[in-house]
Amino acid sequence: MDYTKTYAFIFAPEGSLWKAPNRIWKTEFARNKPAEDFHPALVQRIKRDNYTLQLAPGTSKSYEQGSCIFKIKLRPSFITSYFLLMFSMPYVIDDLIKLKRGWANINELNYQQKKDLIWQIKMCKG
Amino acid sequence: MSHPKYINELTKNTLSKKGYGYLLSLFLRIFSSYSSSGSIPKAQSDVSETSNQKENTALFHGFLKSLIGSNSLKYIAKIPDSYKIYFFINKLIQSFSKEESITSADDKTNLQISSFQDQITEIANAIEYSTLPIILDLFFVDPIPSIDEISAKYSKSPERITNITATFRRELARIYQPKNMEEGAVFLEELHHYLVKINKINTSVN
Repeated sequence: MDYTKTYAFIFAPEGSLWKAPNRIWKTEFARNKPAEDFHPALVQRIKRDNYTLQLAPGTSKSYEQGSCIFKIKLRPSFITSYFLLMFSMPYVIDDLIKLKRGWANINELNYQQKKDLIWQIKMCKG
Repeated sequence: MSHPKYINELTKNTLSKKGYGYLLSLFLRIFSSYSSSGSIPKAQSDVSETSNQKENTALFHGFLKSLIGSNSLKYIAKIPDSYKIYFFINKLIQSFSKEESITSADDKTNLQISSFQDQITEIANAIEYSTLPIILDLFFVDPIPSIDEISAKYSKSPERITNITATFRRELARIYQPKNMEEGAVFLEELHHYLVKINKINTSVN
């Protein structure tokens, strides 16, 4: 049995949420933001090596809903988050698990939200 | 069926003859399941049955002593009846595993396993035992099945399965943080073997 698959599945499951500092993004998404700023990050996909993943940044900034914006309210009372699927970047699990787990006290999307995420990724990336 | 009544007797220092017989029999059943898997050394074939029984009884008494010495009986007294037998069995396995790691102290892998043992036991104790087969079927198989497949197999809603997996992940992350993938994979392999043993014992007890 390949326990690295189990490792990826347990410690960085797809649809899990993390508290990420802006500095981990090199794209313009985080430009001019203080390094101390945190925002939600979503594990969009685990790659075939079971070690690298695509991490999508979340923001509360309102975007027009498009096929590459995963729009979701993590909790009924919580502000809507927009996860920018096209801004996702490669990240490794060993670095990810050093971040704080969860956002808005939610560690991972629920069953229906994960299904919606998978659908959204299909719509965005084909 | 399990008998928390006898464990209650044990915690109150009022163990009856019947209770003693039950716990001894349970102990030997677990002992033999370990022996057949090779985890605990089997009694040598040239040793007579009577002396085997004496050895086993002595081992059982040693186990009871360790329960008293570690104050585990006080802890058992505080937990709900439905979990008492489960905890009792876990303490048994923990005690066996420690014995095993001491006897194999020269082996590097076993030394590493021994350093994981407390965390593994804590994780196992945090799992509600009715969910253990689900956890084994979902996390520790290759290829990993979908939530929908497990939901159909156990006739539980996908939301319920998702909750079970989320609880397991949360407890695991609370108790153990891997340093890296290599260590995490070794840990999960050991956790897997341990959970399989517990599940096997749960099945035979119930």
